[in-house]
Amino acid sequence: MPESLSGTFFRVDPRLVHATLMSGWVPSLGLERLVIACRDVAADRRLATICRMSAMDQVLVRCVREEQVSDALAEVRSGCRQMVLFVSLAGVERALDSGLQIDAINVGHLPRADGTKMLVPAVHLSAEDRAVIDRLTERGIRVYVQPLADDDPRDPLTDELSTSDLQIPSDLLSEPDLPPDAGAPEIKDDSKDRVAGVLEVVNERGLHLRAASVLAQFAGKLAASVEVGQGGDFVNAKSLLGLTTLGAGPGTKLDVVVTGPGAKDAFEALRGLFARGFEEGVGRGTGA
Amino acid sequence: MIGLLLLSHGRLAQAFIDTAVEIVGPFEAAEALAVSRQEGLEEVEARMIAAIGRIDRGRGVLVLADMFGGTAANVALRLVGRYPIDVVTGASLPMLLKASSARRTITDRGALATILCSHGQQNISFASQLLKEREQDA
Repeated sequence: MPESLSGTFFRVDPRLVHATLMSGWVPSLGLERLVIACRDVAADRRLATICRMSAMDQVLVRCVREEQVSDALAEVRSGCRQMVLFVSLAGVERALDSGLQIDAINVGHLPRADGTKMLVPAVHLSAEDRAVIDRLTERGIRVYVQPLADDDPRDPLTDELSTSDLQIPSDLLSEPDLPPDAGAPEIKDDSKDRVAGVLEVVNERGLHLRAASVLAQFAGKLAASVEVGQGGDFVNAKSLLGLTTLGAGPGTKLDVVVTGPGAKDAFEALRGLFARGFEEGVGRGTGA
Repeated sequence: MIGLLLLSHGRLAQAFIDTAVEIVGPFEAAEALAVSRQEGLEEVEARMIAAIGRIDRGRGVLVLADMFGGTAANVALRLVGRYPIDVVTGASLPMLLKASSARRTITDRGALATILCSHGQQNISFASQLLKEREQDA
């Protein structure tokens, strides 16, 4: 989980206080306090007691309704390392609607249920979950999936990208009509090399959803990994959600790092795709 | 006979029973239940209630969970009072072997739980340190 400036972390995990949390996250983040944000637990003395017992005096536990999270976080000295646990994504939205401000949320556990799709064994998303993730992303909140402290955080939406999942018009998600020379380059898998450079976003609308989709699909075909970023903050170019969080408008110069087999050819192919404005052409007002 | 329900993350619970059976023979009115990370708490709870129904012979069920504060134990605790169960955590092979013999005579769940906890704790030791102390005393 990335370091939080405020020392406060947010996670969705209906198991609440349990083994993965107490044996993994609490020691790895140095947590001092858990805030259980769940109206059912707040209203049920038995459930609240089980949560407190399970913490085994290693951390303080506070049980509140989702609407009370902001107040609960303010009860302790600033800098206190806390984690807020929600039982559902819907609960996160309730807290936000009551004034809670967060920059990122970890989806740690959502069990399987009718109509859900498995992302990783511990996380299954329903259509409603995906809609909530979209809305959270629109609010500028980074949503990532990371069940265990040792797992790599991953993007919840791009891994199972499909027309119905994201409710994006199908033509945006079909194979982009790339000219023949824009296809994935021949991979010469004889070296593990790295090519980095600066590429400019030249199409009129910048790296908006359609352009990002074209880039993500293009990068997804490459054997090499592709990272794109600005000012040292990089996202995986194979992740649509990651790319859209860059907010790269027309004229933005992006750092592009290609690592792995065929990196040189891959970078040149990406340079071509950028130059063609992700097949949208060159817009006005850009330097290209 | 008091029923015995072993709970664990992964395959540990079944392995406890299989191992105990190898040592002391078959266990009556006993089942293992594994909690998977794919499951929701309601799903675990429903399976637990069904298992309790299968192994309750009229004296209720003693639940032996792998660890205090784990999901399996936490779900079992939610059922206390609603079903004829008690919950003991930190399950170990010695506790299970003790249960095999103690269940033949003890009919009170609370008494059985107390005996198993005590026996389990007795079996945790810094054995090599104990050996050195004994050898020095001798």
